[in-house]
Amino acid sequence: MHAAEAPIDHSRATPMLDVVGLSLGYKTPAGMSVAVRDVSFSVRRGETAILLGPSGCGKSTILKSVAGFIKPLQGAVTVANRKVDKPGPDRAVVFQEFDQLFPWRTVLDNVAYPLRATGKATRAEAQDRANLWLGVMRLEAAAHKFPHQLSGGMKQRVAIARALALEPAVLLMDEPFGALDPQTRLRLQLEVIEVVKRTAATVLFVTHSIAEAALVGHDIIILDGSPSSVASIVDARSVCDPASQEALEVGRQVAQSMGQEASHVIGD
Amino acid sequence: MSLVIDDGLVPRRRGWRGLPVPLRRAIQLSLILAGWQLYVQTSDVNPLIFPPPGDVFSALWRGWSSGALAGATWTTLKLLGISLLIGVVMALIFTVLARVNSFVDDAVELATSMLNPLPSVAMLPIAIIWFGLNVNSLIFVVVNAVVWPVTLNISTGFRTANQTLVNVGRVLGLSWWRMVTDVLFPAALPYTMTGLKTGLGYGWRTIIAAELVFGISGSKSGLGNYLNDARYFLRTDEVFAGIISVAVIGIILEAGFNWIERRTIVRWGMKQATATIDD
Repeated sequence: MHAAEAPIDHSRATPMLDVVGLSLGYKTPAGMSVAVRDVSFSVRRGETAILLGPSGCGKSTILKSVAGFIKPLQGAVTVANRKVDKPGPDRAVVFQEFDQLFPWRTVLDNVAYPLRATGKATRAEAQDRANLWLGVMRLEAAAHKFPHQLSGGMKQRVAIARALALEPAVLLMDEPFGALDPQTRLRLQLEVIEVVKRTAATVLFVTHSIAEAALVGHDIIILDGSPSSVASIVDARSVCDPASQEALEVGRQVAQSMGQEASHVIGD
Repeated sequence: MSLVIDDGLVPRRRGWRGLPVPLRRAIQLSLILAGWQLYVQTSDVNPLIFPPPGDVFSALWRGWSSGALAGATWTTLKLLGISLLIGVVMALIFTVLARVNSFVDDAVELATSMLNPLPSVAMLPIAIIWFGLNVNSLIFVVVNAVVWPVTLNISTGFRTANQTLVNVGRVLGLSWWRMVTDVLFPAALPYTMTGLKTGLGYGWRTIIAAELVFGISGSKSGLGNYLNDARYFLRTDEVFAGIISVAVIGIILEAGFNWIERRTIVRWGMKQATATIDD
């Protein structure tokens, strides 16, 4: 498979994504409003890092800054040893919104078009690779449908296929399952874990769900405070089953550092 | 023209609404014709002023078979087509330039807000002074009728384009030109279609009105001239035949646009199927 031999030649020692002393904010009439202060973390190649925190804590803002949509007040984001200064296909984004697919393109063309537009493939190659990635996300049957004919979960799977097809250095996922029902969400979480493992993709994943964080992530970066900063980083590498003892343990740790009761974790 | 989906969710209608649409249309049209015939026969109205439907239909037949009406229609449609093309190209240039430069953006907005509400036949006198009594004057006023509603709608479509899609375009590193052609333009297509339909409607009204005011010009005359000639010679049946032709062509043009919409924005789920009066 194409992505399995991802040709990015960085040793495991150097992180794929490096965020150093990142401060983010926006101008208001009263002056500077700082939303994120001095955040540092890194994500190793082939691993998934979670940005976890309550709504409005600035976790999506950090992801947008990594994507290149927001310029930092201070600090820097480095992806594959290159400093981020604008959006680019090496940091493909899966947004939360279902309407992130081009409604005038079929599912297949939604995945193939970015490959052509970024000059990564000719028309025929793009078609082939798009078919391949639709296969990975088990979307073959929907290839010739238009986005409005798909359910929300299917749309998100197409968006993930489109992002993965670009073979980004880092895949950015901004609460991709936030608007899905719990059953679909769990199914997609397991699917993403499997695909990410298989393709050795590096992922930065934003969520407010502790259970999702414990299940999907290697490292869980917990944000807290206002302006928010990194409260702690929890290692969740031991978790491989949402119902396992390890999952509960990691959930308890995360909840503790978020100042919550562990019992809240279960039903999340 | 309506999209009928029988999924069992909508209860079947009884009575008048239960009849198929073409039949309902046919019945209503027949009632109008019958009332018309009855009026002409029972009152002692002069057929020169108010001809019976039979006369009008034979005038329609004569006009279309002799080529007089067909020729006039062709002349008018050709003018409309040329003007529509010029108007749409201008509108596209305006909106793309407005996207690049904020000075142009302001200027286009000012021009649109001033000229869009203006009935463009009002421009005819100045057009005649500038261009003379010829086809250029007609094209000028019709372009004026088309360009502003189309510009207004495309630029609204650009401005309200889904930000998530624009962000996807930015992630792909699209150039500003590809952002316009591959993201903004298709995203604005529902607005563009509305603009084109409005522009076409304005243009159609304007060209008939302008031709009426113009009277005869040159060897080839359009539908407005046909109407005016028929009035001049008191051929009232031909006046009616002209009006019916104008109405039917308007309906056909509208239907053409709805056909395009069904194959694009309706198919892509960007617009609901056109609701007709029967739904």
